[in-house]
Amino acid sequence: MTLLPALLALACSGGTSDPTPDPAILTEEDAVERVEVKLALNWFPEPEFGGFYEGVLGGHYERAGFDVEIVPGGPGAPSLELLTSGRVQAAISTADDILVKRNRGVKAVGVWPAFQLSPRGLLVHADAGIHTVEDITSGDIALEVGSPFQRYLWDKMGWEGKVQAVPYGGSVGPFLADKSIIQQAYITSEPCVARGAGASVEFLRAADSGWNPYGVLLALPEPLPDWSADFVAATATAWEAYMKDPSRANARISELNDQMKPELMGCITEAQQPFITGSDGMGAMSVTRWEAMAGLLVRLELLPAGSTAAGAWKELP
Amino acid sequence: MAEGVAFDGVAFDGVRFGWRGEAPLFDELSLRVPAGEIVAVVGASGCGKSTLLRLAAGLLTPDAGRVTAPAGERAFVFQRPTLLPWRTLADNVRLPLELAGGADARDADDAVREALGKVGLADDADKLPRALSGGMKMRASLARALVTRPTLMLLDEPFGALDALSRRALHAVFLALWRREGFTALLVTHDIDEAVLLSDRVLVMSSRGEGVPATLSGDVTVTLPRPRTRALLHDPALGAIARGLEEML
Amino acid sequence: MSRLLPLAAAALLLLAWWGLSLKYPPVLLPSPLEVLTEGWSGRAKLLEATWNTALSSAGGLLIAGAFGMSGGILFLRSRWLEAALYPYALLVQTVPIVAIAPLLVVWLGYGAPVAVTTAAIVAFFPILTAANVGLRGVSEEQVELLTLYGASWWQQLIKLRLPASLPYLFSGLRTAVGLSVIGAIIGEFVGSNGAPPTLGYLVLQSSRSAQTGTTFAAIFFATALALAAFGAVRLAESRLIDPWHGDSQ
Repeated sequence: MTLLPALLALACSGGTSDPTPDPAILTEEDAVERVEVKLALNWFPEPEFGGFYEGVLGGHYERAGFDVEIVPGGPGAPSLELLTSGRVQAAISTADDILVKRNRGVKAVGVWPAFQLSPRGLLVHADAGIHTVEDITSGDIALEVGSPFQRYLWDKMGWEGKVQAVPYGGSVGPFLADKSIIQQAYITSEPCVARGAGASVEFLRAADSGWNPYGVLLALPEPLPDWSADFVAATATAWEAYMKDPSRANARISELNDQMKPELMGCITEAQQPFITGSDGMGAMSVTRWEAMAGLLVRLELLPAGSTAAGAWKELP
Repeated sequence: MAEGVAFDGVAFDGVRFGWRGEAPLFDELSLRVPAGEIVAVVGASGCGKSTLLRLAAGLLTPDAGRVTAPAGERAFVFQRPTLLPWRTLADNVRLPLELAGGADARDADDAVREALGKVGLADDADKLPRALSGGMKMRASLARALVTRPTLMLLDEPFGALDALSRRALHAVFLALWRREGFTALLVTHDIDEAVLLSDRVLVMSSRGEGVPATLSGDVTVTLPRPRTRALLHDPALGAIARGLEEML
Repeated sequence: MSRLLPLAAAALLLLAWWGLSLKYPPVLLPSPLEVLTEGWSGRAKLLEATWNTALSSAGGLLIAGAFGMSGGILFLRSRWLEAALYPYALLVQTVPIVAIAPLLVVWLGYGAPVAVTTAAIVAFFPILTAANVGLRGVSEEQVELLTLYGASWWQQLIKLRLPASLPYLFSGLRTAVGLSVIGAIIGEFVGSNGAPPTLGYLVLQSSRSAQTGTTFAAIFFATALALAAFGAVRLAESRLIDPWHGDSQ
């Protein structure tokens, strides 16, 4: 019975350009003992998670000895909570989210960010007369109410009492219907979706307002399991493959998410590239940036005074 | 019947009535209740005594034939007191006056007080039906029936749910009221002794089977003297009349 | 002794909660102490939010009551209107509020009107059902009584059916009151902009930044609100209904 997958893999391996035989399938034991990893996303399937889908579809995880199942999320998806309670073995989060949740008992470590620049921002209609965040002085903004980003923005801009945070349902439908609406957006989604629907929009980057946590951050349980380094390595490889050719993963994402139409993929891929690589290169992490985020959260009273980012992240391998 | 005097009682002329989709309960039914008389109707249950009463009250219309009733107000006393539980006794008695409308509030209050007085419930005017015994509720029902000064009283087994003591008390109340007010009364009862005790005439209804209309198989004048007393219940004369009626059922 | 039982149950539940909170991270289940602390320090805002949510659920309940009662009267008046419209009444009950809430925001804008509407939607059907049953919960004899005295359809409604329906209505209210609080909060999840603060908004906001102590405190305030509303209904019931209800007529 175990000979079959080995034979199949042997037969299929003729299609890859890799000349060295795959060590993972040479022995019967190796062919069976794969680490099962459920990976929880923190939003709907979108190209911002492209590398992870490529990891599954391109066999990168499989070759590294992992059997990965991606669990999609949505607004308010409790990806870190699922991780800490053992329901999933890996989760996507952000640097700010992981710092806040760790303080609330979540045992997780950030190990690899896909996005150097936070893909977050605000979406406005082009003719609303708003070109920077400073231009917003009144009205409603639809975003995740109470999130660290929301609190940061209101604190920095002094919007308390002037601008209201209203709940965001996760769809650009209302935005398209009403030109006065300002809503949260990820560069990997809403701007292109809106443009695809014929709207003319502007994207105000969160990073430009000083909010720049690492985004699409892969988190693993604490203490780190012994397969962590291998998983991170496979993830990095998968993302490199995705950056070279995102078509396979993006096609799958289109299947899973109606809003992600195939014709939008060109727009999205082009838009997200600079956010992924930033200036330090994809997957890099630095103490400076982590501590800066921790300091911000302390100031917002989302972390107790004196908190640091120590232990919240680890560069692997 | 004297010539030239308009008939002011209850009359059924060739009345036919059946519930929709069912065989008629009566056919070619004729009877006469002279004004001011108490007439009892007895018969086996289900032969339409209650329906007959409702035809007399005008609550139902006959399929054929005619029902005439005295001019003036009609009152109906149901098997159960049918007091509205959320109203006090006084308000319950006031109900017919409210529905008639046009009654001055003060006049209504007087009429209510008078009616309650006649049945001996003057002190209980503000009580809720819940707080009353079965006999008291029945008396309240009588008071409500009286408040419009009816010329015709229709009673459907009014004392059937009461215990023997209350029943006897209410017999006395009813007869006293009748003596005072002089209304015509049609009284349906399954208690033959009661029928004989209270009424001037007893009509006997009997049915001859499923689907066959009921008929008046008997019309017996009660020859006992008035005023009727409780002692008459033990009088062999009453018993004789009662047994005679039983034979006709 | 029996008074102590609910207290004993509460103490046991509190103990169980505290035990569980040791097992789970605070982001999932905060300890009772933390909820108490957060609730106390944030009490001003929580109280204000509770008041606003209370207003929305009360408003929704009033609307639901008006529509429910009107529906019951309408269905009483016209059998074919009932046949035509009842399925839509049922539809109101089954539509998931989270699905239509965004549409409500488009129509009504952010704020209380959305919460009032969602509260009304969930509270509507229990009241309609209660009205339907209650308005028909009268005996034939009661209807005959009023017919005999010439009551119009409206008089019958006002003097008989409406008062008779009150016990059923209160029964429906007991259910509807808690539902209206839930309905309001769900509406606030989508349609509140936090100014003025509402319980739904506070739950959303506090849970998003993992301040679960506040989240649970808000939930407790919501529960307290529902209980208080229930108590108010019971109080009204004890004054308006209990004195006369329960009499078998």
